[in-house]
Amino acid sequence: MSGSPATTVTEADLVAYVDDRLPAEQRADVEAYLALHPEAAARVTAWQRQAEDLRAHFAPDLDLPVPAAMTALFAAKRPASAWAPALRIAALLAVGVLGVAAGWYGRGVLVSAPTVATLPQEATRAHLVYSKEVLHPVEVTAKEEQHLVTWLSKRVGTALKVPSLVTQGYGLVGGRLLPASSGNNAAAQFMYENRQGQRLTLYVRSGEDGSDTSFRFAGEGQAAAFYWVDGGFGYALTGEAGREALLPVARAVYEQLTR
Amino acid sequence: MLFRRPPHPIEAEIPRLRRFALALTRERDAADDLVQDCIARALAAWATRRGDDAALRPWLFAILHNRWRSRQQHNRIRPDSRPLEDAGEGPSESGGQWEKLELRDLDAALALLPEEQRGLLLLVAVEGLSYEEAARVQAIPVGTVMSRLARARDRLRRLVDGEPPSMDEGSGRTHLRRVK
Repeated sequence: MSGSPATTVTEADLVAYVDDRLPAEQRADVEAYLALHPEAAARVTAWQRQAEDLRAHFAPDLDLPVPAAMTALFAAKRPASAWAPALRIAALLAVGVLGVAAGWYGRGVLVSAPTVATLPQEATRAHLVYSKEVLHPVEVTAKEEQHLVTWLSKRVGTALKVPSLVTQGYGLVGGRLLPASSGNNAAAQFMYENRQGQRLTLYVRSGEDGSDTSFRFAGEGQAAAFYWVDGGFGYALTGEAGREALLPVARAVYEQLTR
Repeated sequence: MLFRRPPHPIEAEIPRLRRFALALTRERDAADDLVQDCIARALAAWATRRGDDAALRPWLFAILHNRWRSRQQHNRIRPDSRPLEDAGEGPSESGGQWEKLELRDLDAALALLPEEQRGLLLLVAVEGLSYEEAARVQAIPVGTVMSRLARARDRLRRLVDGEPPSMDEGSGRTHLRRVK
């Protein structure tokens, strides 16, 4: 026992020794080192016992029953049979129910307030419902952007342009059709997301009676919206980032849409 | 649609994803929320995924870890969020309260580890990921994985033994080169 291998053993070697990731030759070096250094040997023994304790401690977590909500994520992705159309119909019905609910809760507003005031409310409500959605944030994803734009343009009744917010750090997630209280009762919602997972939605609906407006701001609870009317259509950009963060993005949207 | 293999390979990984998420968050609801998010993203990225089935688990762990970190950044105001860097872990968390704590319980000790250290112990010591895989999950160099593991183990050991953490974890072991 000359102790010669001791100088080459590092803390990383001890770690790898405990995790059994060392080649046999290096293992022998570490063992020779440990034989000469009781403090290091005690440390390694404690680490080994700790690893066993950790495995025992975490083992029961694997036996927890998987929540149905998690398996449902896969059901929607497995159109092996007649399931796919059924799910799609279920999703559409769910949107319908939400629309009815939105209409019901918004009814007081509809009679008393001028139409344009409902714009940020409808937009914000829709934002809060769908921006939290993990499974179905959009009906049509950005991969099918052309289809998305054609479809929603037809339903809303104007040639929609989808502004690019890449410069602002937001990519298009996709969009969906929503009920609206104005015009032909159809609204389009486009969803954007940045790298931090923060989402913005652009809401567009027809039937704005009043004249064009400039930018207006409405904060409602967790989300806030910049909205404006242009050529009979109402636009609202909604997000949860706060007024200062939202304003430059809303400007970019406005400039691209009115260009 | 792109997903045709029932059951989906990811489904078999759900228990492990939940366990990892729980190790990071230590809250059942937050953990499951994170797993949902992770699965949705994994499914969305499934078609473009590269790698064989053996690499599936680390790939999923990496997505989950990434989502968790995004949320950490998003919820920075939350009182339990901590800086993610390993550096300076001593001063910010050592204080008078340590002397009052009786830490005999592994779970209580784990609760006091920084989330990244706790997660790494699970990945390596429990899940058996290679250092390279663990490094990719946490987006850190392999050398940092090993030094972080050493720190996590020393720290956990002291917590379980009921000792207050020392400010200088390297003291008394100066004959060992510290690998960063």
